[in-house]
Amino acid sequence: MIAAYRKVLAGLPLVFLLVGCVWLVGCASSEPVESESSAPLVRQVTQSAHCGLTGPGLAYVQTSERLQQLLELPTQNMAVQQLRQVDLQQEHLLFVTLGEKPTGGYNVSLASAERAGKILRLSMAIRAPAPGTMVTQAITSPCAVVAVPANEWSEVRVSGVRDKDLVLKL
Amino acid sequence: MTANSRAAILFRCSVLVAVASLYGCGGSSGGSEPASANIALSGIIDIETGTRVDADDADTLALSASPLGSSQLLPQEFILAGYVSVSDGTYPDQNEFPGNNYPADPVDTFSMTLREGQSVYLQPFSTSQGFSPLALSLLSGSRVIESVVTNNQVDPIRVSLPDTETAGAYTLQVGAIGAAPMLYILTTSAAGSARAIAFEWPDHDFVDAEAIVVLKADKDSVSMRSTMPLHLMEPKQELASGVWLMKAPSQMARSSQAQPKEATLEWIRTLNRRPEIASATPNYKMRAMQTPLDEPLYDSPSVGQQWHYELLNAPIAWQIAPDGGSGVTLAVMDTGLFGAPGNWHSDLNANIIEGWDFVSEEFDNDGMPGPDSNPSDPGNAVGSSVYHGTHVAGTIAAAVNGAGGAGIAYKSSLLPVRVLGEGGTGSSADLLAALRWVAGPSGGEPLAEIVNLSLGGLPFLQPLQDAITYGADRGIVFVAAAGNSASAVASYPAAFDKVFAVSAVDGAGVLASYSNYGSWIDVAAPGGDASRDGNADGRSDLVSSSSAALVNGTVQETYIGLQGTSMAAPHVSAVFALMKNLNSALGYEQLNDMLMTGKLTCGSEICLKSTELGWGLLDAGKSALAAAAGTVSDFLTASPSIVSLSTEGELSASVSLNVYGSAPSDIIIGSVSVVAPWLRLDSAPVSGDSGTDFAISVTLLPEALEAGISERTTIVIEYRSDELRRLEIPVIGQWVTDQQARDAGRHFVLLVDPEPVGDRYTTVAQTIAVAENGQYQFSFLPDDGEVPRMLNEVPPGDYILVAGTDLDNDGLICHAGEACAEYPVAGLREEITIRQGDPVTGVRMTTSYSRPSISAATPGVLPRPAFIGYRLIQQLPDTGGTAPKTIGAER
Repeated sequence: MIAAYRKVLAGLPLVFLLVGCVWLVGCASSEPVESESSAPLVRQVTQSAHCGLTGPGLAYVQTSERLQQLLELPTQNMAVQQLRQVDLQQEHLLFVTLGEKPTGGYNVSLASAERAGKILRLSMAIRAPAPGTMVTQAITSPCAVVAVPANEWSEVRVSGVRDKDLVLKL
Repeated sequence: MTANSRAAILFRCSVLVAVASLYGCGGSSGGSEPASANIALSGIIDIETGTRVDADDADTLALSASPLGSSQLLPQEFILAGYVSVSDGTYPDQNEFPGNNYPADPVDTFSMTLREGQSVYLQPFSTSQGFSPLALSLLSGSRVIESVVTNNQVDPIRVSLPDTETAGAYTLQVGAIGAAPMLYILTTSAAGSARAIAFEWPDHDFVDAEAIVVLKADKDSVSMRSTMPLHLMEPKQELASGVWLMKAPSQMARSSQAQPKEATLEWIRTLNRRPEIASATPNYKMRAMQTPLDEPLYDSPSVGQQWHYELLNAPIAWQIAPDGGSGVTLAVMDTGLFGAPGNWHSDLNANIIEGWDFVSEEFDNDGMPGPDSNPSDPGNAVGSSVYHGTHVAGTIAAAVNGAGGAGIAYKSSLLPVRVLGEGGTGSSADLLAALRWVAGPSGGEPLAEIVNLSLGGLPFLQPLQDAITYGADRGIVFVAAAGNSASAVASYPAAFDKVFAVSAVDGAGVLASYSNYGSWIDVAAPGGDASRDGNADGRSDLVSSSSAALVNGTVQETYIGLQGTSMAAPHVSAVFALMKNLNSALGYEQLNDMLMTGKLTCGSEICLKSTELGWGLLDAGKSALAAAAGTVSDFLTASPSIVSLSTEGELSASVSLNVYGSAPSDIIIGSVSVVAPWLRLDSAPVSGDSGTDFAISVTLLPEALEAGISERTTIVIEYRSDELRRLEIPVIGQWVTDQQARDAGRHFVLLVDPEPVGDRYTTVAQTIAVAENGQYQFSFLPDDGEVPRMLNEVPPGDYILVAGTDLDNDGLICHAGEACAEYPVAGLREEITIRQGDPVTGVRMTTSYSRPSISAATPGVLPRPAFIGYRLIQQLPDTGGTAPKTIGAER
């Protein structure tokens, strides 16, 4: 299975690559990613082949109204309950999206997270079908949704999705 | 999530925004709620449309009253929660809480006006005493028309007015059978199609020589079996305690071969006279209705809409090919299907035949690496999947069964062939194996007549071309998605010789922004385009079909909209199935000739070949006409083929009528009639008019409708072409409001400590509200420090605000079967802060029997794992608006 994918793992240390591989056979909701200090820092709540967000980038959710807007997108097919169960007083949600992809076979997941003062750095693992692979011909919009502790950050930087880091100033 | 709950949440969120500005500001609400300087928290609870409550539920009976002697009047469309119990008793104690009493109320009786064929559905809910069967009976006066018993606590049951009965006043009875008290929700079909219960069975066919028998007495099954009159019936299966599926004695079956239905009914009447039998009813089976036009999804305002069938001219094809592709087998080579063999997505299951899984170990994720006989789609190992193969299969062959949507070839046989594994990816080797398999053994027949390939991305591979050529030579028609790269580069398998390559169009018939194009495209079909609203219906153009999604931690069947050439290809495959049903001799060469001579595309025109749409947008009506072996006589078609009117949508509509046939000529109108008093015919052709094109306009008269009811009628056009014919155009009308009459039962409003103790929440303050003019008003007072604190006094702090009924009087609210409201939105609780001297007013929320987490497919699912409800405070002082609940310890 793994051989069929062209891995795009931008700048990931080996140790985190292993964590990413665990998810390939795991389930949708992962264990918390641990920072150097061993306290749970962030956790991936869910991921989906179809989040309905058309551009690659980040969407930060602090309120239930904002979450509702994202859950009402016409093409989303996410684990809605898992997202609604997140207490937005305690944790905010970060949608990391690949944008629209022409076929199946794409996926993004959280590989690692680290804290640098008020800056949160996330690394994402991305998979895409290798050229010549047979794939479904429905438009997909893959994303991963990560819960981060609320109100602790001035900036979130996400690597692995595009050539340059995606940066969110809070 | 159901359409209604989605709409409700939308509505609630708009309310929430309004409330947010009032939060904690101390200002007045501007509403009609109690205005008092001495208030800690006050607000209004709205009630969902059509909501009613059993007038003698356990909560009401516990207060004083005896069960209602007369019947309770209901509107024609409603959702009602109720309570029945054969006897009184006491619920089991829970932890330190003594169990409440429950009163006897063996039967609830309701009167209502039923339309012809109208159905009423009952969903049972167990109390903490466990499950007992419930009987739902439909009566005219004292004559029982139909009586059905629940088989289990999950599946809803229904009664319907048979064709032999006319519309009018009827009586419904819900009766308790077993020892345990039960809750139930009773609802009607038309308005409830998107609610918790979404089945509609207009017909009453039943299994010959079988009956569902409920035995009297509470004996165990062994002794019960010994007292059965075995000369009258043979037990086949125990469906629930004391409820048996029985077979008629074999001598009766032999002697009644001429009239098995009548003999079965006579036998059931005999059983009903036996003293040891509580009731015997036919073993009803479901039967499909006429066409996909009758399906809820076809015109659903919020779940999706099958606009793509209108664009394809499918309603005309269904008139020409009324068998719905019956007898034609289509192989869908894809990700497999949601479900398991024999238990596929319920909208597909009836049409699925035994398939195969060709996915090799490298791509497989179904727990059994490598090929096997089970083409189930396990979803993705990581994250949620779109169940691509299930969606494609639904467009082809979803059944007409009163639920969800329908496929174009809704009676065809679908052969699931799994060739795509994790993430919707797979190998050309697996596809090659599947193509060779479907072509059949050299001495035998192919396994399918049409093969749908909603997949792509392969380079040219000679072995695949050879397998396709071999299959085509054996009569198989191959249809493939052109690909979504917005590119002219040939994509395989679509670009192979002897494969119909299908590009995708949006709702306006324009090439979708993503679709591939090029000289190798053969034909175009609707694939949707989320970035456009080409048909100007206010929604982005997605193709709606069957799928599955994660609900409450488990994957359950649902319907979703997708876009892609993957969605376009199955439209073509299904239309070919309708054609092959009319003319089984059609193969690749014949279909390709018809396509190139303009017989399958572009309506009344002949399209030139283009790189974008090939020979043009497929026209299902024209294609069916071309396939029909003989001459198709002139018949009328309507556009739109279904009319939807409401006070919150369009009030009038124009319908154009056109003659369709092998050689269209003038037809003569006999009559145009509308019988419903709520629909006015503004203009229409009159008797004797002749021609090929006509127009009709109609207007909704909402005052003739009962508020909140969704009515369905038809415009009937009788006309003569070669013979007298008749066209019926479905019309749906609704006056959206029943505001004043809504009542979900006495509500307990609680302020709950946000921190649960274990999985239990502690109630701090409690008050009661009764529905007035369709809403509840409530208020809490500040704690004045005097001891004892009244139940409706609240100390400063953070709270969760919830409200709900206790219809079964078990001291808990908000479990399944009860109405429930949570602030601000059910399922999305937010804390409210009460401060000294700073009243919070104008709080608003909505109560409902449905939960946001309960989908149409799973009415029996509890909203939260381990959540048993919020516990009421069981103190007695009759102050502060709190009424006592009787508890077991007091007896």
